[in-house]
Amino acid sequence: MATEYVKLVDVTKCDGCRACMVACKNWNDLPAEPQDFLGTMQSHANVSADTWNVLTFVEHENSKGGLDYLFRHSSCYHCVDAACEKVCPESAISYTDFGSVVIDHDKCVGCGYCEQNCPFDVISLKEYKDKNGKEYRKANKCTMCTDRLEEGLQPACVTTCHPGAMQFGEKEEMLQKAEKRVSEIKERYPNATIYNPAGVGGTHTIYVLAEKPSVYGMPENPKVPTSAVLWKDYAQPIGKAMVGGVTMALVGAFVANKFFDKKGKEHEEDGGDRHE
Amino acid sequence: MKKSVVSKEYQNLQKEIAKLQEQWKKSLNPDVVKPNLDQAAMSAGVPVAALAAIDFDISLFLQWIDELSKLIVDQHQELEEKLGEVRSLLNEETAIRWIDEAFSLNSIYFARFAEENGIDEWIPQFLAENALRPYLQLTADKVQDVAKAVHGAGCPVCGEPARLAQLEGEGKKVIHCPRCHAHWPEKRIQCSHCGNDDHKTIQFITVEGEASSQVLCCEKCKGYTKVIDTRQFISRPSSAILDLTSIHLDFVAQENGYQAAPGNLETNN
Amino acid sequence: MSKQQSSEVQVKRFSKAFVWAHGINAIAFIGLYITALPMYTDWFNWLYVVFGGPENARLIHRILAVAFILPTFIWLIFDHKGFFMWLKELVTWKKRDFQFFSEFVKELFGFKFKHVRQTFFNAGEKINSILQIFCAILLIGSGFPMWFPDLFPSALVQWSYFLHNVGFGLGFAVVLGHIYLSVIHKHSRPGFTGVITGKVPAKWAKSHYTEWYEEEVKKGNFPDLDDPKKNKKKGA
Repeated sequence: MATEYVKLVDVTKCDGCRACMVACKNWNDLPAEPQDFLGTMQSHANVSADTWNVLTFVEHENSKGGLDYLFRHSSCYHCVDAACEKVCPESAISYTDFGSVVIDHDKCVGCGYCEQNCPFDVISLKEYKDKNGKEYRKANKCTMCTDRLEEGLQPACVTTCHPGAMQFGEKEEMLQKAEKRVSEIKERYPNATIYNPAGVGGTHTIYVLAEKPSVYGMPENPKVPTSAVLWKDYAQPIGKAMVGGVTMALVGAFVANKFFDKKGKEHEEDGGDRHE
Repeated sequence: MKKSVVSKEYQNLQKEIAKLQEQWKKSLNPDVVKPNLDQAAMSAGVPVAALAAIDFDISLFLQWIDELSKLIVDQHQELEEKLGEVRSLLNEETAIRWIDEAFSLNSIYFARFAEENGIDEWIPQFLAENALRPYLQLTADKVQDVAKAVHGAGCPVCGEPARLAQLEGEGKKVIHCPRCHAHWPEKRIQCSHCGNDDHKTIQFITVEGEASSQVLCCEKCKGYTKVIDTRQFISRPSSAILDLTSIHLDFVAQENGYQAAPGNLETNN
Repeated sequence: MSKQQSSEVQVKRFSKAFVWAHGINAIAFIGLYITALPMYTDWFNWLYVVFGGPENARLIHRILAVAFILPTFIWLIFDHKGFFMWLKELVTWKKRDFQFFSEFVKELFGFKFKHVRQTFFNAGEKINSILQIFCAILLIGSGFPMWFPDLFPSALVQWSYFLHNVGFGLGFAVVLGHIYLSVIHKHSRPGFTGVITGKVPAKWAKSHYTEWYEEEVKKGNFPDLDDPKKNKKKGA
């Protein structure tokens, strides 16, 4: 069992250089996605199947009336209780020993259930074309560089972060660092908080935020959708049991009929003809 | 690292040995090492430890060899007899000789010792070297800030040939001695053996799929240095372990015609 | 003797529109289920290979989804009388409908039973219809947001997955029962051929749907099987 790791993103140290975006593209061999000017410094509106992390830029008027320019590295949160993993009908999404949530492209059928159920909107389908020109889709998202973790290396975004806004290490240690950091910046950022939402069982990307999560466009109380819980924990097993139950009842009926048929052969004249 | 060619068992043994050495070093009174910081000698490349007055405690040295043997036997029971045999040959006199010869990396002496006594060749130097290292490491701790490296002379503290560098901070290259743990900075594009810093004659060998390491190769002296970006590591191993787990890079470099100690005899522990 | 007679005298039970609607509905339904099975349980993952990949399964599922919606309109447009009669029957529940079930259980398992007088649709068929309508609404209603997630709020899409799943389980159970009773159960077979040809043996119709049959006799549409003369005439 490998150690459970956490990526700690301290947005208050981020200077918006976007090297993490480049490092991610580079390590994961992701193609560029040229964009039109969005009216801000932000390059892409959101993460996508080919852009697994996006640096967001938010202009925010703080409580003292000053303007804060807030930067945030955004990518998959790697939930402890991941909705994408829950709803995947093909068990193509799984947890690694490191705590990261990864997609197995061999199993993925491109149904998009994960995309629709992710509370953070960080998993997306990508269109591919095979050599016969047939189109197919697969879900894509940040892997926390699980292929690097397996080699004992930190995620690419973390190693490239020059102001040290990202750290990678054992969960407990990172949580302690986050708490210490929040207490350090409370004076300057009274709303400073740790983002490690309980609704998804906590995450493996944990943030130190200067403002409330909603200021950064993050959900305040993300959770695994109730519909997904009812669907996967109740409807599906009950449905399977019901299908099995009805099948068994009918098999029983069929056998019983055959049985009584033989027994009742001699009574055929008086009973059988009525309903043949 | 998953990729290392060294077996997990051997890595673990080495880690345990490193742990023991750290304990031994801590148990030593720092005053047993009295370095003689002769500037002229240092500039000439004489290792500090060679000139330092080290007050070796022979019984302690023998005790360490016992502890070391026990550790090895714990993992490899079949070695119990052999190691016991070696121990029976050790008296105070041989121990003093062992310390001297281990210090000067005299593998010829140890090979002959093994042959004469009919024991496996690796055993004498392995024990002597590992029991000597705490003294070297203590010396390195003491003179780390004043010892000056001279190109071609290897480690300024113990004389071990330079072969391992790590990248630190914003990309500073620091040579680490896997033997005594001394470390000293060097220019990013410079041969640690001959001092050549002409970028035209310095090549890098990289291994495909290995993102964090490269081998710096000098065309002038045919020497190489493993340069490992341990900033990317989740947890950093000690220089000794790092040197061990990256041994495949030594193979790659040597197969390509480069040497860890160009111009010298192959000296390795 | 009686068998001969019943197979000879046929009466019209279903309109062409109904037969077509029912057929399309059945084929679409089965196809939809088969294309959905590999998503429902890993046991059926081999079906992806049969369909030539998940993309094809998805495409077939969508084509059949449209086919599944059509029958209602076919029946409504080409046989609106029958359609509305059906709807009316579904909401009409009398004592005989409840009596039907206790006898039905006996018949299902092959015990001796007696027929309870039923109208055009017996109580069991009415239950089947109601459940299938319910499932169809669930499946079709939730299918649209799943097909076009961009047009709907994400909460609705998420709930659709749940409802589609419920519809799948419920629908499967209902249809399994429906198919068993019509195709496999020995007393119902004429009903199965009837839904394909539109015609059923008069004797079978009379015993299973007595009230409906007698009404049609009164209207002069069907032969009165109790009148031995007439019976012979028709049969000859």
